[in-house]
This record gives sequence, structure tokens and C-alpha cells, in this order.
Amino acid sequence: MRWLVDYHSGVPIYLQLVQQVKAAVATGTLRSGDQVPSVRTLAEDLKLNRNTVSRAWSELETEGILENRQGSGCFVTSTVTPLRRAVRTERLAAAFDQVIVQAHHLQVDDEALRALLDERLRHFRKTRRDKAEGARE
Amino acid sequence: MIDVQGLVVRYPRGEAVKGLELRVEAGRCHALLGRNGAGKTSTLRALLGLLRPAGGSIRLFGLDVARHEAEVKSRLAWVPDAPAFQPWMTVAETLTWTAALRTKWNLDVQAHLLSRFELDLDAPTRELSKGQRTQLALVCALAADPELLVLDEPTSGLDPLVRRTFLEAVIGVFQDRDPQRKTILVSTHLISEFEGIVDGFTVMANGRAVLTTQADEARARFCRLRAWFDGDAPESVPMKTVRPPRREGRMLELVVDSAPDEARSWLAQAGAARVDATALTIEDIFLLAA
Amino acid sequence: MTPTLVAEQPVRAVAEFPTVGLWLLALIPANVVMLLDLQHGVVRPFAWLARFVPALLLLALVGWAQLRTGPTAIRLRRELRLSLGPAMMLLLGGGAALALDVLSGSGQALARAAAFMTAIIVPTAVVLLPMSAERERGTLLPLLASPLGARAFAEKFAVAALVIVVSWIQLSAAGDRGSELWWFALAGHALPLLTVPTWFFLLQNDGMTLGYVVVTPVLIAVPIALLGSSVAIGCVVVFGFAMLAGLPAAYRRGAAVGPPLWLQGDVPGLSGLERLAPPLLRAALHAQRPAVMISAAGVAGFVAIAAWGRDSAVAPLPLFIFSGCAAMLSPSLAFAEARRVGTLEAELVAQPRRQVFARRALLSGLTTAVLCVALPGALVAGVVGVTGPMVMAWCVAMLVLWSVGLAASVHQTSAGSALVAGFAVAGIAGVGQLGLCALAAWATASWVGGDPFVSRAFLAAALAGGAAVAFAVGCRRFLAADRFEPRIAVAAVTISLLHAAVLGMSSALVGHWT
Repeated sequence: MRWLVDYHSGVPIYLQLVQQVKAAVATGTLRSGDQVPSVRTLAEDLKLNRNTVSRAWSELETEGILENRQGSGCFVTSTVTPLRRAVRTERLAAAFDQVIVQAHHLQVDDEALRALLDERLRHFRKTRRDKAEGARE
Repeated sequence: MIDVQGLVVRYPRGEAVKGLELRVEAGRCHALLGRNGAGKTSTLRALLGLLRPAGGSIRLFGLDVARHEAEVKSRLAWVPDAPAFQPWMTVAETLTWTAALRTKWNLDVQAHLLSRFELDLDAPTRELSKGQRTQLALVCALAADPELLVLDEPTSGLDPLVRRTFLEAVIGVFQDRDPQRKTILVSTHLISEFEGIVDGFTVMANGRAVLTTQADEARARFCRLRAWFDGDAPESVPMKTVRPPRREGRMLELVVDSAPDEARSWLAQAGAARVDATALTIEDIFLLAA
Repeated sequence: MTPTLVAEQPVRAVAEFPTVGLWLLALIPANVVMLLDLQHGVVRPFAWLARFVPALLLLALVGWAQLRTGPTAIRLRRELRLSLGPAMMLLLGGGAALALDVLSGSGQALARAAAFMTAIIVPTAVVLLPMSAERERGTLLPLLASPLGARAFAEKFAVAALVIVVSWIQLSAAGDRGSELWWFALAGHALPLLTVPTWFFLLQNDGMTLGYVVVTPVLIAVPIALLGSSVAIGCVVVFGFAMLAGLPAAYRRGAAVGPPLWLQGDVPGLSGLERLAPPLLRAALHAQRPAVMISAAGVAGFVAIAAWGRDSAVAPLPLFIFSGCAAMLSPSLAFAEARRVGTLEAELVAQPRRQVFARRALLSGLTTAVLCVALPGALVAGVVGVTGPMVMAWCVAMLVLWSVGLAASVHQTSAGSALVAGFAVAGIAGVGQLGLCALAAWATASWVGGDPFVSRAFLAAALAGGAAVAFAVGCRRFLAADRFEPRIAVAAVTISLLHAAVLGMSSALVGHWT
């Protein structure tokens, strides 16, 4: 998995790491049981403050995406999250709201937005399938 | 951890620092940026007790630097921009000598760093290259197990490999145990290198702090927007920009230091066909502020 | 385009007058010689004129450099400004010693010793400091690499040579031509001129240069002197000219990578001894090596003269001079040289200022006490025999030189400039205190009646008080990390002068009552 930090994006660095882990899990690049680099290794590789990486990792642990096994390292948990369905839907609704606002600013109408959503879902499914097939071979 | 109030440093030729305020919490990495002559070195020297400030107060670890000199000095370490060693001493002797000066000395850290940097223990220090001298200075600093690490232009003039190993050693070794209590204060010109490691920074100019902010916050606030219009770009913009907007025919470029979203929506409303927004890195912000 | 070596803007001649005007003091020695002659009733107009000529030449050079505005003139102005301090010390120090020689017969030994101390160290400083200033500014390597470098150094040398010739002419008026003291003064003037430039390009720092300049002729002369003193003198002369002949090679070498290994002061026996000590002590002892070398040279000189069975009054003189130099050098090695290398700051960041000062001052003090007081004292006592007043005078002199050296070097960044400042302050302050003491005694005696004679014990106490003030000033400046503050200097001068005056008065009163 390739880690990228973009200092031009305006997004806090720890958040970028969190988003990259989430995206990787969503696309299947990281599957449950995979090990993510330790805080020290990643910080040294990316020349980041260790506290930044630790913050990202602890946030992912709070959200239940990573788990820290003492002595072995940090691993991706199974994709079943302990959060209740209602909370999950509420969080997703907030993310959708942001997308809708942006679409309005970029003057993309509702139909185009739905088409775009379908297209992106198809893309993610395809990527996951390709990754799974690649792992089997 | 670091609390500087109203620091004034006076030299016979004038005042190098005119009322500086600096606060750094424990566990953070803070950068001191500024052009040559802005007062960075004088500030660091005052912090380290190498010169007596004409005014203001400096507190490190909650202790007054002048009154609790021994305690404060035993908890900090310094990597100067031109590390000085006795030219006739070998690397091993220099380490023994430095260890004799300090109250704590971690032999494991010393051994680990020596093997990592591949320094020859029997080489006299006068035969070391600049990169090796900086590495030796870092070993001397880190082996003393400090809580505050002060770096003064640590990587200037070094080749890229040495710069990388230096940073890796600072991240890997200094922040190893109890990283919440390990603070770094770095004064540097190679800002892009420290971009990821820095939590907050202060830009100094003419002896004063002109900008003090957290890195993430700054990157979110400062934004360079480029908009292309169908017709001519608008003459003026209602937002406060860091410097006057630049117009080139259909293109309008402006730099804002707050509420970039508002700027984007205004540009969209003003009829921009395309808006390109990039956040500014610390180096870009420094070039604007200093 | 020929590179210019000009670093500063040309300064208006009028604004610079106050400093440049000090060069007029170069005329004083020739005047003193004239007055000496007149006092003895001798009138030799041509000889006087001959003595004035070099001083006038020097002033003509100064004037030319002030009035012209070409690059050469600007370079010369800078050289003259750098040389002014040591040159004034040399010219006035010698002149003052001659004057003391005439005025008070009892101070003759002290005056002679002062004159000959200036005759060895100060000519070295006159030649060395303008060159070492380039090293301090960081312009040494660019100068060596530049095509004008040789010319610039030749100009520095010419200015130094002129000053030394002026000083020699006035000093040679004292002592009979061909006497030992005359030869000693000649050696002290000529050898630095012949050997300092070569040593400078071969060695790393001022301390080592000073050490080698002073020590090498002694080490050459002493064993050869067993064959005969004229042979020894001849060998030293040949050595001097050989060094001068080696100057171009040394210059070319100086422009390349560092000094040859064997000249870097790696003395086997000393290294072995040092290795026994704990690390901090070892580093501090290593730094004191130039002082050890100078002290060793003094011992060698004393042993040689004593072995020749010469006049026992003269034998301790070189030992006194070299011990005095070592006493002044020791604190400047501990503070100024360490600051120049950067290790003093490394220590100050790790330990409280008080601890660093105490360690360095104590070590320098102990080294000085052993090298400059105990060892020479034991030697002189064993070979020639000592008297109580002599011991007291020796101890007080070393104490004064050490304390003033400490005060002068706590904020300097080179041993060379610390030495010059130290000798200047010690000389002026010492003379001032002694003079004021005598004046106070005379005034008190003329008021209460009695003998105005100031006993040696009171004089020694006056100087010791001055030494204590100097130490306190040095201590305070270091601990407070203070730049030079005029009010501290004023307070120090006032206190030491008052102290001297009080002692003078007490001495007269004691003399009156007993």
C-alpha cells in the first residue's frame, strides 16, 4: 500500500492518513487481518511527527477499523463495526450533505449527481473484485 | 513547556529581538522561521542561556531559566548549526567528554545511533565531514536523553542522504519513549523538509513574531485560488487577501488567509468557469509572511 | 577584473583622526632617549635624528594611508588599525620601562623585566595579530587563494617590520651594545620578524604559534650553547633566516589543506599523562599545552644560564618572563581559545555557568600556580637562592598577570587579542596603582611628616588588590553573560585605585609611627 501525504490539500495530515486507510479498506487494498505499519516506521518513512501518526492510528482504533495487538502491531479489524446502524446512517448522511453542497457550488444537477454516484459505486465494486481475484492467483 | 514572554535581546549595534512571545506545549515540534537576521539565532541563544536577554522572561519546563539553571540545562540538548568539537579528540573521546558534562547518558541510544550513522570511533573530529559532524552532534544530543531538543539549522549544507538519516533519527530515536514529553524546537531554512514533522511554527521578521500558528490550521486557512472567467476577470474582490490579487486577462489569482470556502463560492457566483484551489504549504506561507 | 580586498567603505579622514592620532605617540620613545641623553649631559644631534627617522617614516606611512583612497591605501589603513594596539604597547612599553629605569634605581630589575617581556611577546603579537585577524574574520582562505594575497601579506609584514625597527632603535639605547641584555632584546625583536609568518601558515592557532615562536629558538640555543655562546647565537640566527627562506613554501602550503601532522602538538609524553585524567580534566589540560611549552622554555633558559655559571642576578630573568607569559596565556587558553573553537558554548549549554567558570578558572589557576610559581620557585631557590621580597614580588606578579588575563579573556574569541588586551591592562593598571600608591604615601608623609618610603609589602598588597578586582570583574562578566559595560570598568578602576591610595597612606602612617 502506498502512503501519500499532500501538503497542498489543506487537510490535516492525521486526517489524510485516516482517510487513506478508510479508502484502502473500502477498495479492498487493505483487508481484515492485514497489518498496517507501526507508528514509528510510518513516521520515519513519511518524515512525519510520530504524534501525528499516533493520533491517526488511535482515531482509527476508536472507529473500530484498526486494532492494536500488544507486541504484534496494528491490524485491520473485520469490517463489522460495533457502531449501531442508526449512527452509521447518520454519519453517512452528513457526508452526503457535504457532497450535495459541493455539487451545488460546482453546478452539478441532481440527475448528474445520481449518475455519478452509480458510476463511482460500480468502480469501487470492480476494484474490489479485481483485487480479490489477484489475491487468489 | 516553552514559555517566552516579551523577549528582548540587545546588541551594541541594535536590538535583535524586540518583544517576542512564544509558547510551545510539551510533545510538539515547533519551527522558528525567518530570514537571515530576523532574530532566530538570538532567540535560541537566549533560550539556551548563552546570552542574557535585556528584557522579558523565559520559562522552560515551567521553570525560570535563570533561577533553575542546572535543572533546565540537564533536560535540554542543542544541535548547533556549526557543531564544535576539540579537533584532536576522537569520536569516542568526544562522546566520553560530552557524557561527563551531562547528568544522564543513555549508552543504548549512543550505540544504536553510532551504528546507524556508521561513525568511526577512532577518527579524530578534525577529519570528519560536515555531515558526520552534524551526526556526531546529534548523537551527543540524543544520548543525553533530553526532553527538549533545540535544533539550529541542523540540515543546512548536508547531502540528501545525511539529511534523511538525520530526520529519521530525530523521529525514530528522540520520540521513541514517552513522545508526549519530547519537544522539538527547530530553526531552519529548509522548510519543506520539516513540513511533515512540524506541529506549529512562528515566522519572525525584524525581531518580532509576525505569524504564529499551528501547521494543520495554517494549511487549512491559507489558500491560493486561481479562477478562469469567460470574460475579463473581475477588477476587485470583496474578501481580505494576503496580497493584492493578480489579474492576467481571464485569470484571476488571489491568496486568502481565512474562509477559503467563501472565496470559492464568491468566485463561482462571479461567473468563474473553473476554479483551482490549492492550500499553501508552510514554505509558501513563510514566503508570504516574511 | 582584479579582485579587490576592500571590505569596508573608505572612512572620512577627519572622523578617524582620534584613533589614528595615537600613532603620534610613536614619537615618544625617541623623545625619551633624547631626554635620557640630555640628563646625562650628552648632546648628539645626529644620533637623535637617526632615532627619529624610523618613527617619522612610520608616521609618513600612516599619513599616506589616511590621505589616499586607492585600494592599497585602504588595505594599509586596515592593517594599521589592526596593528595599532600591539604597536603602541611595544613602543610605549619599552619607553616606559626606560623611563622607570632612569627615575627609580630600585625598580630597575622590575623595569628591565617588563621591558624584556614586551621585547619577546609583544613583537610576536605585532607581527601575528594582523595576520590572525584574517583567520578570525574567516577571510584567510579566500585571501590565500586570491592572486593579491601575497601582496597583502607582504604589506602586513612591512608595517610590522617598521614598528619593530622603531621599537628596537629606542630599546637599544638602553644597555650597552654587546651586553647580554642587548642581545636578548635583539633576539626578542628579530626572531618574531623572521619566524612568525612561517609558523603562522604552518600552525592552526595563535596559542601554538606563540608557543613555537618562543620555544624553538630556546630549544635550539640551549644544547648548542654548551659548545659556546657565540655558536649558539649563530645557530639561532641561521635558524631565523632559514625560517624566513621557508616562508614562500609555508605560504603555498597554508593555502592548501591544514598543517602537517607532526606540527599539531601531539607530544607523546604529555598525551600519556593526560590520558590518566578524567575526560573533562584531560580536555582542559590539553588546552593548556601552549602555556606548558612556554613555561618549559623558561625552565630550559634558566637551566642553561645557570649552567654557564653566569651572573646569578640575570639567570632568573628569562624564567620570570616566560612564567609571566604563561600566567597570562593560561586563562586565555581556558576561555578565549575555547570560545573560538566553540567548545565553551557546548559546555555552557549543558552545565550552569557557575560550574563551567569554576572548573575552568580553577584548572587554569592551578596550572599557573604549578608552572609559574611553584616550579620556577623551587628551581630558583635550589640553584640560585631566594629572598622573601623576591618570592613576594614573583607571586604577586603572577597573580596580577593571571587575574588580568582572566578578566581580559572571558569575552574574547581569540587568545591573541586576549593576550594583548591583558598585557596592556596589566601594564597600565600596575603602573597606575604603584604610582598612586607612591603618590599617596608621599602626600601623607608630607602632611604628617616622616619617610614617604612605601614598603614592598604594601606595594605587593596594592597589586594583589588590583588582581582581586580584576578577578571579580572577570567572574561577574562571565556569570552574567554580559557584554562590556562601561560602569563595571569605571567601578573596577575606582576601587583598585582607591585601594592603592589607601595602602600608600597606611604605609606612610606606619612609617611615621614606627
